Amino acid sequence: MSTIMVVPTFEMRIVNPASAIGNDFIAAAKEVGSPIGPDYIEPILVEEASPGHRQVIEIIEVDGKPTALQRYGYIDSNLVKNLRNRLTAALLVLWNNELGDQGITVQEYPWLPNDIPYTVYFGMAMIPLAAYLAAAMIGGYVMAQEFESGTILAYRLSPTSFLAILTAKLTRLMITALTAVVILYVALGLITGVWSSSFLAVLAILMPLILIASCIGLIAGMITQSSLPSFLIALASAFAFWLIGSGFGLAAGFSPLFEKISRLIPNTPVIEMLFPYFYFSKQVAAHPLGAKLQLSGYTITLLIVVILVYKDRVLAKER
Amino acid sequence: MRRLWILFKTEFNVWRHDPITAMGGIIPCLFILIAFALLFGGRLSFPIAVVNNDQGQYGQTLIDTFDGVISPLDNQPYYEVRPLSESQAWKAFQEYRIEGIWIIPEDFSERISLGKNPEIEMHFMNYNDDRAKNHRIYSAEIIWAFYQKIGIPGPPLERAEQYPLPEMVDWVSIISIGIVLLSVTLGGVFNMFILTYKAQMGKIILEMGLSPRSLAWVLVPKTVLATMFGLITGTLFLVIIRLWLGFWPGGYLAAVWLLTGLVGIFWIQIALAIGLIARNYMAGAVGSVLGAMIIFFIGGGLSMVRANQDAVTWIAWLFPNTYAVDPIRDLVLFHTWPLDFYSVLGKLAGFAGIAILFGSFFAAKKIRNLG
Repeated sequence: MSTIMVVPTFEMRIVNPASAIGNDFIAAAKEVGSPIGPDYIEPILVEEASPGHRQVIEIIEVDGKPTALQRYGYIDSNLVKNLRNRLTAALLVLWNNELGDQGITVQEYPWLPNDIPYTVYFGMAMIPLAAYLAAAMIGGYVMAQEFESGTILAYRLSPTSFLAILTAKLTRLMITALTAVVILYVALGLITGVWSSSFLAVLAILMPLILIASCIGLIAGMITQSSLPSFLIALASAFAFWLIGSGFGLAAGFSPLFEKISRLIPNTPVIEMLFPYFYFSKQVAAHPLGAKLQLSGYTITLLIVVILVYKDRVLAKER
Repeated sequence: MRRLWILFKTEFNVWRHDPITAMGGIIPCLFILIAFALLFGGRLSFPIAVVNNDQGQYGQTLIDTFDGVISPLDNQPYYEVRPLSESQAWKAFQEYRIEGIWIIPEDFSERISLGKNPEIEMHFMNYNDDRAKNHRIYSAEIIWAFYQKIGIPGPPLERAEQYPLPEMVDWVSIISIGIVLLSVTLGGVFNMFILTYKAQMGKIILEMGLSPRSLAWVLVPKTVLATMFGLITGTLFLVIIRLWLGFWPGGYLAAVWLLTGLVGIFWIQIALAIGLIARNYMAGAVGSVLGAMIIFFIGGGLSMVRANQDAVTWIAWLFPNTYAVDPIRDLVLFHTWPLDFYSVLGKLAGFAGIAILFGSFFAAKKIRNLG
């Protein structure tokens, strides 16, 4: 996850203090962190009070009071928030030390025994992306190529049932997507050291999503009849579904509007169903039965749409 | 020159037959921008429940504190306290409909008054360490504000901050500039793929190979056209950002074009080489487009590279996007001339030059071999 720059430990530049309170502040900064995970501040002592591209903290006197002044460079509100919160946490350690028995202790009761690295969630949420991308992209490309190379004529003239043809295509796409899933799953397991409690369950949960993606790919291929646009549609839908479909965190953890939209995307129920297999059997699905019905509904609807589009674009053409 | 113009017009006509792909720099990028705006552009307060068992007044004062402590991220309170009974709160927490529960014990006020180690229980989600971190550091903000509210002796070290602009640049805007660069990249790549794909499908590679003229006559129009479309899609995207988020480079537009154009040329040359060399055309196209997407994520698409230099993986430094994205943010979001503009320009020109060298070499080799 560090590759997309979400790391709990932040380097914070502090002008080398000359005062005792400044040294106490640095000691307090080192105490800010998780008791069951990483530290949140790594103090970096500097000589110059320039924020550079990020920030710097300087201990100065303001109206006769010692003050930790944090100067920011050209940075965004998220980084300001993170830096401000860390500074406050360090200053609160100092304040609590001074208050002694009057200071409030926040007793922490985390949901899970350890803070789980973001990489685990991020990786888990990428499994549906891999499944979707493989099925939709190859589905679109394969179907478009039938038109580009003219082999669609053979399907049109074939006495074989169109359902058999579509079933064969869907089966091929399912196998391809499952292969992509297995490769990503093994890679993620080796990187994070976290494996699901049931691999077969993971595959079973992904099946409706793979079918949905395959149908979207095939439909794109039949409608555009060209490889590049169908690839583009698969790519755009895959990334949009991944990002909106709980790719960066469970939908319930974001704004109410986001959650409502996210719940319409097939990835969200899939990720909520995958969650217990990666997170100590903890359930997070708001409505487990509803999620299953939703996925089934999407799958059946898209299968019907594929059949209708096939009839329209392939079988109904003039011979 | 006339020959170049004819070839240029011929290539341009290819675009008219495939407008969807020509929009390759817009469609996925627009989806991505909408997705990130939905993710991080809305209210991001953590929904929690507070169970107040306190017999005194401080418990309620603490609850009243939550609303007044505002996050710079979205100018909303860090926490949104939901009015839930204790049993409802636990049920909601177990089903992950709220982020946490704060429990204020019955002797909270008494212990504060007597100075006897007052405590609060904070139950919170930690399924990812970033969220757990937020709970811990947000709670510090709440306790800090609470101390100030109840008027206990002030902190030994006060807190102050300075931001260089009157208004803070929000995170979605930072991401949007990453997407502008992605838009130029994908716009260029997709348009180069249209041109090479049509050449492969139309089997005119053989004609190119047999041509007695320099292959530059064929490769230059392709590169110019793809770069032009990359810049057009990027500019369209800037217009979207102007309308949506309110940022526009103004007088710095030419500098933005220069930086993004050089990044675009790098990727266009990769697309040119793959488009002509790859035996399995689509595998090559998919590989390069996904490569550009991955570089967006790891090369500063989501955060400022300069401010997170240590977190950038070494692979990202092998691509020009990582160098270009922050100077473009300076120009568009902060309306300031980047201090490192010329050094970045030199690096990007180097990347583009090397890419042109290799792209042309491999493309020419392939075309002549076919001939």
